[in-house]
Amino acid sequence: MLKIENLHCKIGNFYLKNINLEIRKTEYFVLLGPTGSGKTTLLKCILGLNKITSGKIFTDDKEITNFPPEKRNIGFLPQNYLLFPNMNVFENIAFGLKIKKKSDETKNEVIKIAKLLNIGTLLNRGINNLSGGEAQRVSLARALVIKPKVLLLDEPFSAIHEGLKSELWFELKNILKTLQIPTVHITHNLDEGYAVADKMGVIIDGKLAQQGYPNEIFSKPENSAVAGFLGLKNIFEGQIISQDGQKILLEYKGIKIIADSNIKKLEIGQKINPVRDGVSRRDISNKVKFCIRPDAIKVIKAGYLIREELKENLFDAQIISSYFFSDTCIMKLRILSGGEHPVFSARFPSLIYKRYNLSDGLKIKIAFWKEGIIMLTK
Amino acid sequence: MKNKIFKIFLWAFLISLVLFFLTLIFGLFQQLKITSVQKQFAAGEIFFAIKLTLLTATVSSVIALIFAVPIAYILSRYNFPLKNIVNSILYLPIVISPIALGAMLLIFFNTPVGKFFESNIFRVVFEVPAIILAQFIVIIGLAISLVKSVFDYINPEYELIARTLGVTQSQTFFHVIIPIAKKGILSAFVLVWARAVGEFGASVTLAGATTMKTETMPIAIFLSFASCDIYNTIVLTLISLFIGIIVLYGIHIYAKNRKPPL
Repeated sequence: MLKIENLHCKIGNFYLKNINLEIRKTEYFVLLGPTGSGKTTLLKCILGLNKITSGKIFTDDKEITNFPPEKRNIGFLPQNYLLFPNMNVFENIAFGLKIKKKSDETKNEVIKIAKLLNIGTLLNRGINNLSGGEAQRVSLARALVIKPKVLLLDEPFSAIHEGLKSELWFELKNILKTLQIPTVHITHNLDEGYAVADKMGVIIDGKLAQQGYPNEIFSKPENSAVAGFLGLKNIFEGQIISQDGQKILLEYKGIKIIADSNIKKLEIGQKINPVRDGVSRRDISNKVKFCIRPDAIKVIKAGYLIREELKENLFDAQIISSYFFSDTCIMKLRILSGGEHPVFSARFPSLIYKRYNLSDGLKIKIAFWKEGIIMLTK
Repeated sequence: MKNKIFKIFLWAFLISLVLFFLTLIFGLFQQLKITSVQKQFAAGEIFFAIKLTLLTATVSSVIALIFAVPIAYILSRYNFPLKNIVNSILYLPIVISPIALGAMLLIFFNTPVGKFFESNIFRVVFEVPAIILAQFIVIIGLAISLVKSVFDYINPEYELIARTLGVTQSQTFFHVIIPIAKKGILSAFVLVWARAVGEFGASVTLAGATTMKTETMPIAIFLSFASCDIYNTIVLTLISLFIGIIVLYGIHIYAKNRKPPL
């Protein structure tokens, strides 16, 4: 178990602010965040390589806050694997044990871990003759052979060939699950994080902005910073016109949008408690930030029946521009109904674009799935 | 066409300098007389100078590296107050004339501390230890600078990784950093050793130029030249050249085969 309580750290002009985290045994925790958000700084605090200003760190209920790195028993897989260039594969893996244990004991442990990671045949190889995937496993074996209480992985797939990554994500997770080691995996790759995480946290600007189950975070980002990092477009500030139970009627640039809401109904003049109400920037004029997931915008094909749940948010729109990726298409759409003709980004499978004969400038009907409209706290 | 002219321009510099050096060496051979070579070797003085030079250069280089390795590591890895001033002091021997360094040492041994050292520990001035001390002072700045560049080249994250594997800072230094830096340190040793072999200014000031006592190769060349013995000067210069070329060629081959640390 790894537990972090109220951790603060200052490195130059960068601050980690009030980090609280608990990772249970066998849990695979992914820490997501943009470059420079403080992911590696936090990892180095846990490892004892960065001095923290305040807070506490525990592994298995034992406080290790003031322990030097070598006494913490935390395994670390660095981003570029950093295999010692003066040693072969066996010596690299054995390094942490060799200092403390007898040679035959070390040999057995190394062979055991090498077998588990399928690198038993590489033991006599020089490290310059390893592929990216092999080097990753050797580095992982080196971290695991000391039987760490917690394992920290710093962007472990950044040096792996794109085509091999997804297979390795699950393979790595399965291995670590077998060993029952609580793991913190940091990455800025959303797909990677979503694929392997039991739980995840999003760190932005030195603050742990949100943590929870992957579904929870991806479907309900708490604020615009998290939503922005998760690649959610269409983050706007609208006005609440009315609220009726779970339904909320919003107005944005002259169009009315109906959304589901988990925020409490507020009365005019009522004081707002951001924690209780789930909002912080909602003032008395009922302004609220919201986001419409690009994949929650649906193109309605002419002549087709419209599903009941889509009828509430149905608009006439015009395609402004389209950009194609390998299997998806991003479109900029201008809503034609409503005074200010707001623009939204929508994402579709590329196939839909071809099948519906879409083109730039075409006028179409679109609808928003209510589940894809997310109310943000700030 | 412009590229060709540019290349010719570059090569012209290289070729002219190499030709200049080769002309100097050729000049030595032209003036050399076989009889004078035989005479020199028969006298035994030359063997004494070679032996003393190699011995003192080796001892001073070893001592210089014993100091340079920890100092260079600190300068490479840590920031501390007044680091720039400390750096300037340590690199002083690189910019100060060797004769001035020798004079500083000579003056030091005339201070009460220096006198106490000479009368209670061992005599230095005009003795063999003076040569070693003079060579040490001249090469230490270079040794620190060379070894520091070796440490700078090693990713400090290796040390962090080693510590996460349960290894202490000192174990990390001896089991990770030194083995990775070994080849670079060895190259640095050979270079400072070569510099010590050629050291003259500080040695002659502190150790004097006494035949068969403090007579290193450069001092022997100086003594021969001062007594107008041109043939002897040529023989000694050629031997110095031979040692220098062997060392530099060896370093070049070694550096070529050296794999840089990741």
